[in-house]
Amino acid sequence: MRRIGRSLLRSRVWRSIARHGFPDSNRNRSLAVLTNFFLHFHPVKVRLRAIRFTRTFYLGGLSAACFLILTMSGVLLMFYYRPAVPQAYSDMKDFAFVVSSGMFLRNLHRWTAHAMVGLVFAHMAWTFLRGAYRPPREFNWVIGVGLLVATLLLSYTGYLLPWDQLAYWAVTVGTNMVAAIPGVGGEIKLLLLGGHTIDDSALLRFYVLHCVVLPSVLALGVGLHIWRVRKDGGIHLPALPMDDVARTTPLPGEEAPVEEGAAPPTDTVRLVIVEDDTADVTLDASNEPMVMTFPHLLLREVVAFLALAVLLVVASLVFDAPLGGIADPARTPNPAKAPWYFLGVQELLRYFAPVVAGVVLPSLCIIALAVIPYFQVNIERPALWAASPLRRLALLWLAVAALTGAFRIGASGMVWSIAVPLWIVAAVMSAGALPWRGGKLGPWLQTRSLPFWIFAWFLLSAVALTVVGALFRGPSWHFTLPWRDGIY
Amino acid sequence: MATPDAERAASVSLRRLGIAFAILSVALLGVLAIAPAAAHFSEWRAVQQRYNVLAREAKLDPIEVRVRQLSPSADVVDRCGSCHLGAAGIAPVDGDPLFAPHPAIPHDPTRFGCTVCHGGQGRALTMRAAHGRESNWDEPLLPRQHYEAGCGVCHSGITVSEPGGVASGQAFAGAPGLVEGKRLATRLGCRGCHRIGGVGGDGPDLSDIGSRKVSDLDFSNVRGGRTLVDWLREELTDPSRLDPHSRMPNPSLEASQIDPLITYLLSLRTREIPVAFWPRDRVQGLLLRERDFGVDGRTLFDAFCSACHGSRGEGRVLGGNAVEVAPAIGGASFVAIASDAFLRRTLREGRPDHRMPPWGASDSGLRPEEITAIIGYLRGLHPVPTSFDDVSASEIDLARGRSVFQGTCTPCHGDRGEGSAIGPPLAAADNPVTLRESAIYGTLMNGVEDTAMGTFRTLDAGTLRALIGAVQTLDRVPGSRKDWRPRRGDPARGADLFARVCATCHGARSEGRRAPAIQDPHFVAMAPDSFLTASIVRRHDRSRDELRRSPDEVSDLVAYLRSLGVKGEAKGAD
Repeated sequence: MRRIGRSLLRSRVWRSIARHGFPDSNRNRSLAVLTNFFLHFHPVKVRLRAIRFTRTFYLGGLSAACFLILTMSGVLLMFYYRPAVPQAYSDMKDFAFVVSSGMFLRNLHRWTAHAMVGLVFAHMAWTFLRGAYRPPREFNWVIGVGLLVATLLLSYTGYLLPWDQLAYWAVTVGTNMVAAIPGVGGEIKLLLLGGHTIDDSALLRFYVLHCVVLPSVLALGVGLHIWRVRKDGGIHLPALPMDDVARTTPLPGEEAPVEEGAAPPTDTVRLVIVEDDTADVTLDASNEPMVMTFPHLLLREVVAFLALAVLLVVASLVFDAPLGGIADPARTPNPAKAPWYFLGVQELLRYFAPVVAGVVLPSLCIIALAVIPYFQVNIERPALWAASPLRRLALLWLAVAALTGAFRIGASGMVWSIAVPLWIVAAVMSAGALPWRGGKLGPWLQTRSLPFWIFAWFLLSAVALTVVGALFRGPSWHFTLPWRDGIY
Repeated sequence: MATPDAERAASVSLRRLGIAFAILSVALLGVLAIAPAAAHFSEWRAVQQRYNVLAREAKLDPIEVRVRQLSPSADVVDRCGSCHLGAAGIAPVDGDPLFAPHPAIPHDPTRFGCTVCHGGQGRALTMRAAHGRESNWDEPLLPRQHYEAGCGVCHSGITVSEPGGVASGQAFAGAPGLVEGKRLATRLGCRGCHRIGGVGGDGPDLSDIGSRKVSDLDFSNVRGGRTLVDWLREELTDPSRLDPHSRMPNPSLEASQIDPLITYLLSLRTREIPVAFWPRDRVQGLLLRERDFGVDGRTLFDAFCSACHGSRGEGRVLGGNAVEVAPAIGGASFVAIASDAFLRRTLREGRPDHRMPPWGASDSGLRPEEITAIIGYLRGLHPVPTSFDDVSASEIDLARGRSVFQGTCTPCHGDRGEGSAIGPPLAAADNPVTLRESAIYGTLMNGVEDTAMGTFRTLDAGTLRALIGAVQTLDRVPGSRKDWRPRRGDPARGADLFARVCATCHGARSEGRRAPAIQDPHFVAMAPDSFLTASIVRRHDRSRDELRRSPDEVSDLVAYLRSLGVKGEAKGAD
């Protein structure tokens, strides 16, 4: 048996496919990573620190894994689905009743899509908090923001396809927000729907966008995104404390000042084949432990992917994707809710004019996100409370009061979901001005930068708006208690 | 070379990762197998396997276990036969009603499918979903006692008429409950308020009541389950319990009437049915616009008038938010004074702002000939005139004649027939009517067109003879019939009188409390002076002082009402 296997591996055919020997030596493992199309995004060796789960929680990789699962389940769904009225809805019924594992596939697609939106959000937040967009990675962050938008659009276009009441009215809410764009809104809506109402042509457009255009854009973008991470030296790692590793040169992209016109910093880990060598772990130029990508990183990636897949499959076996009655333009459900990731925006509609809540605020958010890396935001960390803490505290609370007032006056009611996070963040921030002695919390609070706190406020508000919109809003968007009235 | 610590840590974590990898790969394969495997334990497979067990015992060939579906039209897929094997044409075996054949029906199920008659969700393959008990499916299976509603969905034009059953020779014996329900809905006057297929009052339209979605209905006051049947049962039993603001009168039905009515209501659906499947009665009803109810006056009156005016036109107090009185129109006293033109116009145009809807073809769908039939029916409530021969043959009893004259003629014509503000002098020398017996007879029997002189057909031959004698022997009075004109009343005094006397029952504004709302410009515009005058004189109980008004007062009241009408017409013309 063993001999047959060995001769198979030595055969000309096998050699023509995989150009290296069985990856049981470091040399062959290097070759495996280098010569494999799917693995060559990885370097041959990686820093041990970079592949720790708690460093990144593999959020980016798992987002991509979700995309992979979505592509596979989506293609299977496409074999049965017809983007037409009323076949689209009866195909949903057929998934539930006659297609082999049809309901499971639909569930898997649905829950994975939700997971992907959540993971992409989390990936962005974590990347921000770690400041991983610092030069030379600014533009990769911008690409990431684009990928976030593409993910949301994919999810949104997919939302219409079941052609049930949920789909129809969620998309109605969304396209009406688009129509609120001054000047061109109506035209964009017309372009999107292929008509003035949501019907066959809108379904077909959403289908093509969902199955062809947006996945292609996303796949290309993900490729670019990962390729740039690789070119910029793998994932961002903060500098090690000087006493931890005897370091002679600064790590690129960290403290080293980037001079105008200077060549982009390169990874210290070169594309080299590790000569046959039994040791997995070595040290890099700065004396940091490094391990072979194969198996250390690959195994971690595969295990994370498997864990995610098991989780999603089990979720798909237990929970069925919702399906309302067939889309009926004559019957408006009350409330008509958008998908959960747009509920924050829909919640804003309760307070602001559609053009503000649906266009201005989301656009501002996306622009603000995109320009973050170009303002050295969250990278420089001057001790916020070092100089004249009292004056700064007064200034902070003055700003808080002014913003609170603005939210009261600019909106049709007190926007608690934004104001309360503001107060919480400002209170925690002010705690940094206290004379902390020892411990870890005090220094941590003191060294956070202003952009960090603003971003924290943004995140908290987004979560609060979404939670309120999803759980605490009932008919006519009135406040309800989910444990008393149920979830609408 | 790396530190030994790092080396050891890396190898330990590698081992752990290897174990996790092994466990997770097996786990993933395992959980991925669950969904396809579960399909093999589905309900319908179990049913077909059970059939095969029974079939083997009965020495029948086993069947192939597969989904059995019918697709009678492009968008309809009925997979009911996957469990209801008997109905799908599989050789029947004993032991399970699922395996019994479908009862004989005039239709071929393979051509029509199942859900078109039975409702439910044809695509589904679990019992709960297929029988439509899913939150996203609004058309549940019709319950057993209302199966016949399914017939009525296509057979929307079957004709019913009194007494019970089917008219025009169409055999529809297969659905007695549906026919009975439809007959009841017509006879009990549901359509007086509810429009069905474009014909009926202006209350909630019932044309699509059978496809009302459970999710749109309020079940908070419904006793029983959350189905349309339960909701309809509550509505038919106690509408004010279902909705405190409902204007629907309590129908006080017998228990045996409720189920057929529900069956009929469930059959009312505006769902599109491919024309190729249309039965003859549907074509006759929807395309040829033939009536599915009798078009004789009596049936029409029952169907469209009786709900408010009472089954014999006796008038009713209507409940609801604003109490209103539907006037008595079936009695001789009304027919005696109401002209055909007045009735026709009232029927055609209704009473805006009041319960009486316009019944013309463009509003509530009654055709001119049907309105004529209703008027004919009302007219038919009028007693047949006593023949002149009988009158001539009777003895004259002048004393009795004079006493009848006092009660019957004096309110308008004056105590001695000298004439009044509203009635001409009978005793004038030049009154030609009073000269000839037959002329007096004719006037009493047929009234005088366009005057307050209505008919007096309730009088018997002897009384008539006596009355005619009394009129003929009136003492002549000065003055001339030709010169008599009705007095023009004083609206201001009429208004004052109305407020003091009439408003007690007719309401101070135009609401009508115990009597019809007559201060209604539209009504006054339609009703001629003669009708108003005669109504005041003849339709009130004259034994009560406050209701007995002098001719001058009557003319004042008519002038007052007329003044409202003029205003109303002016308003309408704007």
